[in-house]
Amino acid sequence: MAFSGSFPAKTIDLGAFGLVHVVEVTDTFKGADYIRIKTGIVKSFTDSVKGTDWYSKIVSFHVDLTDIGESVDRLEKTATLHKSFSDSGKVADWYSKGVVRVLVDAGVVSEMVARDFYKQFEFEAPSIGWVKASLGKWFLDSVKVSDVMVKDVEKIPIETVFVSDVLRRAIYKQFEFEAPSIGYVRVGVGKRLEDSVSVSDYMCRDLAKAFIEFVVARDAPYRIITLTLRDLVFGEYTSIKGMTKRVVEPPITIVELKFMKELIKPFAESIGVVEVFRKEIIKKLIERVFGEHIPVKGITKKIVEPPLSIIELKFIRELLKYFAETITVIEVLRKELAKIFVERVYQEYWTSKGWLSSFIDTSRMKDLLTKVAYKICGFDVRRVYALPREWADIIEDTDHNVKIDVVKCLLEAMKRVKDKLEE
Amino acid sequence: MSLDELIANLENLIGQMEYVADGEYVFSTHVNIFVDWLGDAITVCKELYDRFKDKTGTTLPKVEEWLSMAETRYGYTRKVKFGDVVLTKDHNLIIDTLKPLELALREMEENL
Repeated sequence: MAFSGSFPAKTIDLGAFGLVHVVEVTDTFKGADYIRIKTGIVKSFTDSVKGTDWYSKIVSFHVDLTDIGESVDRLEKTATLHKSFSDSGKVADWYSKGVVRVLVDAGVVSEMVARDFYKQFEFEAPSIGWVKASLGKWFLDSVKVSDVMVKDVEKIPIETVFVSDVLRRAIYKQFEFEAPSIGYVRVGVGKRLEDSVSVSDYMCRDLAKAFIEFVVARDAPYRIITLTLRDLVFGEYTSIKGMTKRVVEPPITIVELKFMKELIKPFAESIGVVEVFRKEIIKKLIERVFGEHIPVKGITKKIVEPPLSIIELKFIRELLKYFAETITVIEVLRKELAKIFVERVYQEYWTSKGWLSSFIDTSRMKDLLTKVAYKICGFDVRRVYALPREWADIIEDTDHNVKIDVVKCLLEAMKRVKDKLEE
Repeated sequence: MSLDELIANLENLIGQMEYVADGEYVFSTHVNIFVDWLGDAITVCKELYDRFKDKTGTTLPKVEEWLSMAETRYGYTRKVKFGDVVLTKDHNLIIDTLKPLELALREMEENL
C-alpha cells in the first residue's frame, strides 16, 4: 500500500477527520500485517499497533458521532419516519377530535335529557307521584349517560397508548434498519421514545382523570337541577290546585324567579369547571413539551428538536383549537340550555301574568264599555252593547227597572213644570 | 188630547209597567210600553215648551234642540212582538230619548 511506510503520523492527522479516513486506517492495519509478516519488525510494529488501536478508537468514536448525525439526518428524512410522526400527529388529532366528539355528544345528550325532563315536567306536573317516578328514571338515565361518557374517554387514552406503542416499535425497527451498528443511538432514541410514551401515558391518564372529574362535576349541576325541579314540583302542587289561584298568586312568581336563578347558577359553575379542565390540559401539554427536552439532551438536539418542536407546536395548536372549539360548543350549549330554562321560566311567569292581564283587560274593557252611561233624574242608567261573546253583555233586570224609576221621575218633572206654567 | 189627558195617560202607562227580577221572562210589553210612554212624553214636553214660550215670551234654543233630538231618536224606536229578539238598541234608544227630555224639562223649570 502506498501509505504503509508512514501510517502512524499520517493516521494521527487523518484520524481527526473521522469517517473519511477510516478506510485508510483499515488499510494501514492491513499494510502493517503485511509488513510484519514480510519484514519481521515486530517491536516497532507492536508499538505502531498500540498507537493505531488508540487512534482507531478515536476515529471510531468520531465515526460513531458522525454516523449518529448522518443516520439521524437520514432517518428524519425518510418517508417512513415522517409518516410515523405524521401518524403521531394524526393520533393526537384523532384523540382531540374524540374528546371533542364525546363532549359534544355529552352536550347534546344533556340537552335532550333536559328537554325530555321538561316535557315530562310540563305534562305530568299535576301528578306528583308520576313526576317523582319520572325524576328518578331521568336521573338514572343521566347517570348512565355519564358512565358511557367516562368509559368513552377512558377508552380513547388506552387506544392512544396502544397506537403510541405501535409507533415506538416502528421507530425501533426503522433505527435498526438504518443504523444497525450504532447501538448508542438506538438506546438513546429508544430511551427518549420510552420517556415520550411514558409522558404520553401520564398525560393521557391525567386527561382521563381530569375528564372524569369534569364529568362528575357536570353531573353535580344536574343533580342540583333535579332537586330544584323536584322542589318546585312539590312547591307548586299546592298552587296547582286552583288555576285561578295559581294565576294571581304572587308567591308563584317569586318561586319561579328563585328557581330560574338556581337553575342558571349550576350552568355558570359548569362552565367554570370546563375552564379548569381546559387549563389542566394546557398545563399538561406544556409539561409534556418541556419534558421532552430532558432525554434529548443526552444525545443531540438535532435528533429530535426541530421536527418534534414543530409537530408539538402544531399538535398543541390543533389540540387547543379543538378544545377552544369545545369550550365554544359547551358555551353555546350552556347558553342555549340557559336560554331554554330562562324562556321556560319567563314563559310561565309571563303566561301567568298574561292570564291575569287578560282578565284585567277584559274586565277593564267590559267596564269601560258597559259603564258608559249617564244619570237621568239622579238614576244611573246603562247603555248595553253587543260585545264579543267572551265579554257577553246583556240587558239586565236592573236596566229595565231603572227605566221605570226614570219615567216616574220625568212625569213628576212634567207635573212640576205644568204647575209652574199654570201659576 | 189635552195636556192633562196626556199626563194621565202617562201615569196610566207607568202603572202598567212591571219591575222584573233576574231569571224572569222578558215580554214584548216590557219594551213596547216604554215606546208608548215616550211618544206621549215628547208630546207633553212640546206642549209645555209652547206654554213656556207663551208665558215667558222667550225661547230656549237648548230646549228646542233637546226636544228635536228626543223626537228624532224616538223615530228609531220600534215595538217588538212575541218571538222578536230584544236588541241592545231597543234598550239604548229608550234611555237616549229619555235623557234629552229630562234636560228640556230641567231647563224650562229653571227658567220659570
